[in-house]
Amino acid sequence: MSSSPFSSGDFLDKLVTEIYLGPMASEWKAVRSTLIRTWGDFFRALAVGPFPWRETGRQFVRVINDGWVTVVAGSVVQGIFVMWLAGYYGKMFGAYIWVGSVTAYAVFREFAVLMTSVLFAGRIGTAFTVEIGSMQMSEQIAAMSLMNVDPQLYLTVPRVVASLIALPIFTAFSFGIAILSSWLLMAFFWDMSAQIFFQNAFMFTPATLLTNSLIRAFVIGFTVALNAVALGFHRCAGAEDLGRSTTKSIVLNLFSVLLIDLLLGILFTTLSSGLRG
Amino acid sequence: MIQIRDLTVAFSGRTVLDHLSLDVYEGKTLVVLGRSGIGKSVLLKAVLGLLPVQGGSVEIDGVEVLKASVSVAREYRGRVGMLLQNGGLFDSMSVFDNIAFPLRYHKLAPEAEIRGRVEHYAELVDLKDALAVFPQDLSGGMRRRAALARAIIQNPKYLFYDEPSTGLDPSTSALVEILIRRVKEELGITTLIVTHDVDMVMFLGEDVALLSEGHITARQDLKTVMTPGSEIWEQFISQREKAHREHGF
Ligand SMILES: Nc1ncnc2c1ncn2[C@@H]1O[C@H](COP(=O)(O)OP(=O)(O)OP(=O)(O)O)[C@@H](O)[C@H]1O
Ligand SMILES: [Mg+2]
Repeated sequence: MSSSPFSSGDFLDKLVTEIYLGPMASEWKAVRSTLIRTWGDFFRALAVGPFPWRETGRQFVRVINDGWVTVVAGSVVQGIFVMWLAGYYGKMFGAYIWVGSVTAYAVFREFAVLMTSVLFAGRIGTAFTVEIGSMQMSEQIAAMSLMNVDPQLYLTVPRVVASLIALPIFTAFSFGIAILSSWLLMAFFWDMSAQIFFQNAFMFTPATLLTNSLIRAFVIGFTVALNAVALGFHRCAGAEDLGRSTTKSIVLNLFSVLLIDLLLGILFTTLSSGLRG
Repeated sequence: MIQIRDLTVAFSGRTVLDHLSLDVYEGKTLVVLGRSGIGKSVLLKAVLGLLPVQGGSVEIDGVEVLKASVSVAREYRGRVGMLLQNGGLFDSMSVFDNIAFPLRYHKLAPEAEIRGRVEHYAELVDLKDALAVFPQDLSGGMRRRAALARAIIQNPKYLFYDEPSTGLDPSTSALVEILIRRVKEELGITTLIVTHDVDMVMFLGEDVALLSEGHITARQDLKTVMTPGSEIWEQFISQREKAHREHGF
């Protein structure tokens, strides 16, 4: 087991087992039962109550505090990205007046929610896993149970509820910042006028496009947070275990983000306009 | 009295406790000796419902808690406090807030009274000067004392200690022993200690039991235990010399 991580056989082996076959490998069996248990516990705790208002408020403030810089930075990058695609090619093919529409459509329909969710999984999700995992290792969770404090009610519910509210808010932020930074750059490089840009921007973007994205953000926020917390509860006996749980948390959540975004996106489009598109 | 009968705990097929039976009598201090990794922590946690159990029964003051409803089990388990091996202090809170946590969370007393009680118990464990400090800035011994104060603030009838002296130097460990004795005598708490520390047995033990291969293999009073040739002496205390001898030292 002393081969370098870059020897090709070893690398391929790792790639296949950890990323693609990961969910099927035996290690994931235990994780799967932890996930199922925690999802069940979440709804049970929510039903039994009392709802932890204070902790939820605290977690909400914390999630916003921890996440906003990442979201703003991500949105600016997103704006540049869209500007490049829509603005550059729009100009090249003389479709100047459509640039605003394309930008808005891409951002509202897909880029904002996708980019924000991925960043959220990385910035907030992994923090949840590490935090709860280390609390577990240092027996803080056992201490809670000993004091008759339900860890699900005290730790899980606040983080999940805070996340499912925060992610749509981040997504809404991302809409604005991405569009704005996109236009600013176009104005700077190609003298795009605000009037043409924004007039066109909202011409072909119905309100349902926004609400669809926000609903997806809501579902993703819920799933990502609950998965991340669940992996924190997965038994870890040391730093190495915790590292493994954290890796699983981010891999699982990135897949979840892509999958939920894709499936709900297709579902909403189909519902609102039929398969004609 | 706590009555443990045929307690069985297994993790993914590996049996850690195998039909373990043990009685904890009121007013006494029972020390359970056992090697590292034998299942001492698992025993305490299983009794308190922190781990899933495969079989057996646990009666606390005559009430079976393993199969009882959640609220009944909670009430009876509430009579038992526990000092966890790692303390389990919340690192997001100061020592004061840690000790006050159970009272505040369950709204058991008004804030003014909580202050008084926290200070009283902090005094009892000699930690009055460190109330504003955060757990990560405490030494191992202080952390254990803070956790002890938190464990006794709800006036438990029984108190479990999970290796209270592990990782402490001899004099700090002696202070912890004195503290355990003080807590027991001043508050009249029935005490169960699991440890591999033989010194602790000599200072605190009234009854001594040996945990080995998943169950209690011997139980004797302190005087008998300390007589060379007794069962526990032979099986545990003399092991150190035996190991030395076997390796030619
Ligand atoms: N939640 C768990 N899941 C799986 N295995 C566990 C779990 N808790 C404990 N074990 C295993 O049970 C065995 C006994 O562990 P335990 O912590 O009770 O030992 P111990 O006697 O307290 O040892 P130490 O002196 O090191 O504290 C160990 O092999 C441990 O790996
Ligand atoms: Mg232990």
